[in-house]
Amino acid sequence: MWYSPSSARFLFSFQQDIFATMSNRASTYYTKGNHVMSPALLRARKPYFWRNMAGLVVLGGISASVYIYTYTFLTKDDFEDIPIPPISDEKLAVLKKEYEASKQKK
Amino acid sequence: MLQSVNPALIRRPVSACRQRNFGSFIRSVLCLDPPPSPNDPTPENRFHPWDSSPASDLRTRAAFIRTKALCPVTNKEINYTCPYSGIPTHHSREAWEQDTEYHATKRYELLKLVNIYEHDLRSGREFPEFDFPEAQYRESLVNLANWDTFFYTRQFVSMDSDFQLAAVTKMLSYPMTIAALLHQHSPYFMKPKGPITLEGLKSLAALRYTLYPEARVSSMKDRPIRLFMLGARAESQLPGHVWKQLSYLFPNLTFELHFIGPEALLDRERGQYAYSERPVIQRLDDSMVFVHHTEYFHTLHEAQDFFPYDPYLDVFFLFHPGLSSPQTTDLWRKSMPGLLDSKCALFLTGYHETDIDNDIKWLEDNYADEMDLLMEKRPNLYGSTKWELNDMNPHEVFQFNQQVYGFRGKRYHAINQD
Repeated sequence: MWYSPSSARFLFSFQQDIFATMSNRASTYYTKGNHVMSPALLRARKPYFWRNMAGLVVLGGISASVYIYTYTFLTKDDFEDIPIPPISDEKLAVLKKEYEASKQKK
Repeated sequence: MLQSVNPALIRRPVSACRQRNFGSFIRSVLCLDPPPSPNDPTPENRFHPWDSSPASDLRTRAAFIRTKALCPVTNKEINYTCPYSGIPTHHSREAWEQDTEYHATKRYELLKLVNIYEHDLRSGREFPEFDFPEAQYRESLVNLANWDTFFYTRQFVSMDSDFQLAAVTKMLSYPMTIAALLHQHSPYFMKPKGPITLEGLKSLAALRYTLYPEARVSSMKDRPIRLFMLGARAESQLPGHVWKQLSYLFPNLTFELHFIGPEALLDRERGQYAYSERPVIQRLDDSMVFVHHTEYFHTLHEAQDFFPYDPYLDVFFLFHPGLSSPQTTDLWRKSMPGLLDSKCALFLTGYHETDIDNDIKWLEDNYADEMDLLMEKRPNLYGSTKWELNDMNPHEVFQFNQQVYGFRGKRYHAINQD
């Protein structure tokens, strides 16, 4: 029951041939125009609703936890393993002066 | 005994709005239901007192109740129509007010359902629900858990109101009661999860061996499967396409449906039950043959017409047989030894719990040592949802095939080892 024809109809609406094979009787389970499920379909799905929701939580939880893990792992990285060239304070002051001078020239 | 149903809570149909106009566009954007058409059945527009019913046969039934049935309070003839249900139920208004049991059990709600369902069938509305589906795709399974899942997975028309359900389940109750018991995805599980006993599983396994030939080692094709229906009445008059629904659930098999009993053959032109010395055979197609026997089962059994019986290929169904009712019990007493001797599975249904309890008690009183229990009594998942009324006693409301029970002649005789 993971596959819901209403969502499939939305996602694959260009694939008209799939639903062309659906009989006129089957189409009565959705209100024409707004694709609202009919009372009969809601009754048929009722015994499966909560277990489907639990399955949704489990499967959605797996992919969500993968995303969350990746995001937290990447934001924790401060790139300290990338080597920065060593430089002394005097050299830094000289470089800064050159930079300011080039800025003023412009 | 009776589950209480409030007619005010009955589901109403949502009719598809066919006209494309601005109002329907706004409604569909807001996901609102389209307005109901005036011919859609509702408890209000299907309610008429039977005495002043637009249908003449219901007026006749009301008159019949008035002449034949007796008031439960005063034990006099019935002269007062219950204002809640529209059905004549009591001798007078005083008797109606005094009947505390009638009001406490809210039996008038069920009687009202009887009333509105009968009027709905005679209303002349469109019945799209009688457009039955044909063969099932091999890759799409049928879910037999209940009527709703069955209708959805078989792709029937969406049965949105209880009126539609009542009209269709009354017909399909007979083939579906059989199919739900025999199918490999039966909704009846073994004890303790369900009502099927170990002996019941043995009988059903034997039948499923025949019903699913692709799953067995030997591909030998035997004779067709015989479904015997004893004391057949309504089931023998069902149109062929209704019984054909049974064979769509068991593709590539041949069923022989044997309707047995003096009411098994209706002469439609004369409107009475016909008698025929030889069985009347109607062949629907390659998968289904109807055989009407107008004799009693014990006569045919003694003449060895059905011999040999095979528990792998034969199964008996007794749709509300009335084993214990005084009019028929002597006849059943003659038939029962043959049925138990056949060692084939027997399933019986009842109109309501009291009815089937009487039948089971009669069986246990008379044949306790000779029978095995296959299936405990339980409400039938594929009983009719339409409420019916006994014209001889309007206080007896029932549904076709409401309860189901299974038994069989004992196969293994215990031997004392002392």
